[in-house]
Amino acid sequence: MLLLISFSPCPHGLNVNKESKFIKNKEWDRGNNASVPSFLSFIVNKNNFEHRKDFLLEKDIIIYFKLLKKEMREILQAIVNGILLGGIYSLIAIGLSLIWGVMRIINWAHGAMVMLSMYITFFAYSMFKLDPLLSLPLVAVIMFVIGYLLQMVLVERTLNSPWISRLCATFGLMMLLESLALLVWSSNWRAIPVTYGTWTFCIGGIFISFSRFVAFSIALLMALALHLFLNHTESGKAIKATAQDREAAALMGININNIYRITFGLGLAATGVAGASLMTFYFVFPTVGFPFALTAYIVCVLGGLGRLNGAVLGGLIIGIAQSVSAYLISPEYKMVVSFVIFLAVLYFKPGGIFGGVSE
Amino acid sequence: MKNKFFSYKIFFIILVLIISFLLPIFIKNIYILDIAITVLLYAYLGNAWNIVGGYCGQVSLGHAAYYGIGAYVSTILFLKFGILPWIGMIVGAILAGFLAIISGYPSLRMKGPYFVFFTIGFAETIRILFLNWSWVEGSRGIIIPFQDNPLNFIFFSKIPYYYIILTFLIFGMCITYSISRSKIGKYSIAIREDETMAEALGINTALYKSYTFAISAFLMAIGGTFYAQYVLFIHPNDLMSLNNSVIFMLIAVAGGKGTLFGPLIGSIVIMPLWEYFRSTFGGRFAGLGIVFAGSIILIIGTAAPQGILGILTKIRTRYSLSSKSNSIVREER
Amino acid sequence: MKKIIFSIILVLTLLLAVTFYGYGQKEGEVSVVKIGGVYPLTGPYAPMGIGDKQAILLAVDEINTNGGIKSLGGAKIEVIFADSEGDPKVAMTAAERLISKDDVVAMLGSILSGTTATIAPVCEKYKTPLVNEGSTSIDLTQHGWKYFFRSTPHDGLYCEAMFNFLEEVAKKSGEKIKTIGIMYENTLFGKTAGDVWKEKAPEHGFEIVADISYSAASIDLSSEILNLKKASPDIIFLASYTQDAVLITKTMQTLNCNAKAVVGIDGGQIVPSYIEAIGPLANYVSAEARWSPDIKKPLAQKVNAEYYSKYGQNMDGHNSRAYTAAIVLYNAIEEAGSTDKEKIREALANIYVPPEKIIMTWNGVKFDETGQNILGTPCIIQIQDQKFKTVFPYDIASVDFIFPMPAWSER
Repeated sequence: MLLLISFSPCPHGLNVNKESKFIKNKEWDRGNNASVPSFLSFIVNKNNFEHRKDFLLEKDIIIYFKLLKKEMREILQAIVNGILLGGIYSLIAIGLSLIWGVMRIINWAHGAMVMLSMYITFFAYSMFKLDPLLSLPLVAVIMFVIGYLLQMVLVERTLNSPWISRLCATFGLMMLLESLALLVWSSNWRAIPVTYGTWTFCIGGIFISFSRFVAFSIALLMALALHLFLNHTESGKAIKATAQDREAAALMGININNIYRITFGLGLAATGVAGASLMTFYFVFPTVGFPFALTAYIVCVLGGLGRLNGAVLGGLIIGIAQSVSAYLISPEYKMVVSFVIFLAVLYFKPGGIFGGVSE
Repeated sequence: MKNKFFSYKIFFIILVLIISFLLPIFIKNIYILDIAITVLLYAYLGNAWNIVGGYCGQVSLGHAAYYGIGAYVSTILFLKFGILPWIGMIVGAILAGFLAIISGYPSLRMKGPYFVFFTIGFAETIRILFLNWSWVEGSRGIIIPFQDNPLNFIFFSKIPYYYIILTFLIFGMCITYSISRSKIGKYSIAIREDETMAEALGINTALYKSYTFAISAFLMAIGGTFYAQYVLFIHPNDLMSLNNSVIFMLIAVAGGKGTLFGPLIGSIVIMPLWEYFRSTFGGRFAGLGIVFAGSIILIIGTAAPQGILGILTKIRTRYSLSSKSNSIVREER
Repeated sequence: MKKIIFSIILVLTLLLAVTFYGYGQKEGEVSVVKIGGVYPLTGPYAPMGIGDKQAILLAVDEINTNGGIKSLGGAKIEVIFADSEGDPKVAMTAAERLISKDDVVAMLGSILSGTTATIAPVCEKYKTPLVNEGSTSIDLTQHGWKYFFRSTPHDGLYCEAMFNFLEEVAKKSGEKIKTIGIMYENTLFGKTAGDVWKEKAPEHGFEIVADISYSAASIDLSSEILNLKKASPDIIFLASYTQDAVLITKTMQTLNCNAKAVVGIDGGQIVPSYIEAIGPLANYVSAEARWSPDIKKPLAQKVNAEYYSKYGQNMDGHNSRAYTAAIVLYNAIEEAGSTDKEKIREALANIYVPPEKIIMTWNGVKFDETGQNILGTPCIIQIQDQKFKTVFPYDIASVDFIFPMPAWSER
């Protein structure tokens, strides 16, 4: 694909010859039902085609192919949208997957953590005029510290209790965080007006929002960074060891508690990165975390616990599936599509598409 | 001594029953009556959740779906087909039971947290389906016209509602009690404690999980009908929300999951306090109610997994162990 | 023994004193008239709820400083607010609390049609008049409620007005308008608007080519906008709340979705935070706004100035109607000359508030037998230079309507 990147949106007008017999029949042009791709509608509206007495004109063929191209372009746009959306989902899911995979804890407060990091980003802007991309490292560090402390104070107590205690503890944490946010920051939503907020690429007629593209790249970068950390540093390998076998790792002299704290901190730092990236194009309010979290859980299960590449791939799959199904079928059932995929994975391959830890 | 202990508990239960039956005679204020009805309703719903969540250990955060289905089935049958809500209630409950079994089937293999996800996903899917289904008015919600008539299950005064929900609650708790004493109950507890072991012992876990789930959904749907007839307005987002499911779990767990009186105690403690927070601190300190609820869940998770009943039992054991001579004297009286 | 008798006598005397003190106040001597207000003060609709609360307090302050309710000897109005949280059950409980515990004589509320649907039966049951300032679902006046009065016009009228507006615009500009794409959020507000649009469009000769319902809490609306774009409608109608309105506009810009005009109804596009959030992207968007700070009416300007000085923001289509509802209720109590709920209800049923007394563009306030105000009129605004400007009806418009909307690439 030729890279014709222009920073001004390129309106791709379709110079349609209005004299064509195809176009005169408006029904064919748009399709009665907007949900039927127009290049298929001539099959649906067979009548229009059959009543024509003349032969196919050359003009008509050209226009047909132009419309086909337009249709392909729109589907491609839907796919690209899906990829970008998937990137966002992966971004949010990576932290969750890490914590889950290493400590077997499902952090139900994950959505609230994203919300918290978004608020921190916002306040970094409102107090110090820091652009979210600049404050990203700062937010990540703050969230790491918060994660470390939370693990120390709260989650450690529940490590030896049945899993329902952990559910209650993290769930309670989520409710607490959301309601405190409501109390302190009110339900008014906050957004950061970034200078590049309206920048859009236009490649071959496909529109890509700059900030979402950046978020997508950050997702990939973060996954890469975590992968390098986990596989090529001492602490990273210690974390992997603990994930594989807690007792054996302890026997090797690894301080399990410390590892858990670091992991929790890392997971939260990842949400910090996610939150900061989100603030470049979205807004924050106390309950913003819930839909994010729900999708993050689905992505994690889909990708397999603790597998970073799984989280990324899972995010992309869900994003594309949602986007394309919403375009071809109906936007209302987006979440239903995700759930169906989720249920199918849970039923057929609980370990995720990569066959991670299934427990 | 065993006889004495037994009658002490029965005496207490009878006392509570008498108070609750006589309550509307002393309390005429509609606001307080409403709180009482809310307490009883959530105790009932918590109890329904408890059957599958507490006794069988299958923590479900999707029970709001059955709640909503009960409400919708009875309402649709009432408004579109003229079938009395009392009958519609049973129909809805049976439907919910079937749905629980059908939806439970794919989830039988799922352990712990995966099962929770599944239930959440399932409830959300049902909610979205109802939201977009225009035959049931979807997102417009349904207003039930106020034609007060006992046959219509609509009453002008709150008092009949109070007695109805009280009866439902007693009925529900009786069912829980009989389940806990029966084979279903014992097997469910076995499944809760260690499913693999239970299977090894030859218990058909799939069957008993389905049983308890169906019964739980059945009761939940009845509660849904009650809500519909009480509030006279239903909407998928109000009924089938994750919030509701969490509240059901909270009530049962806070009181003491897997116990008979757990949900009741949980509801009595939590719901009035929540309403208190809501009414006193609305406005500037809005949201304090959810802070409260969240803290409760947090505390239960970290410090008191057995809920309030668990704490009370611990206190009682410690008390009776430390002052054994005292307690003997007490019992003999 | 003596001590016991003495203390018994003391207690009895105190009890008697307390009871007689309670009877001390003579009937008719009312110093405070209590009105209840149920609004979503928390939750996703809180900005609207708080706005309405502020407007009502402004109205009540004015009334009290100008002598209160004269027919009741200058009694002051006190509004007791309760939070509905946007939840119908909570609203119902709140209404009951206000009626039974706080003894309000009338109620105001509650923005959302869902919460109003549960409050109205409560008010009906306890025979307390309710003046609904802003729930536009048509269902609400079709239940035969006698104590329910809705000062705002309902969706039928507003949606109708949008079609009238399009016809006028087409006439004036000479451009052809044939197809409309509608996009609405999937709760009561959006769905009702969507249904009315679908029903009325053929009557005015318009064709609906896209019918998209979405969830207001979505992270991403690209697919929806893509579907909208594919249908290439002449006009886009939107029924959204604020955050989704922002998301929609941004996504339309990203995906280059253009139309001759984008007209919202109520909801997101008419609040100042919409413009604050997206700046220049908001330009050329129009909306049926119920009201606008720049309409050519002196009373409106004056009240808006007061609101601005007190709260630092202009009034908008929501709280202006709340203000109006408070004024209507005040007039009714004044007419009734009593705190008897029946009399207030009577007064409301027969009241006529002339247009000079209200800040809306309406021809006044008069309720029909279903409790609906039949003198309401719409007000279409367009955002120009990042400010709200009234463009229709032409007699109260301050500027001309810019039509068609320039494409994204041309801005």
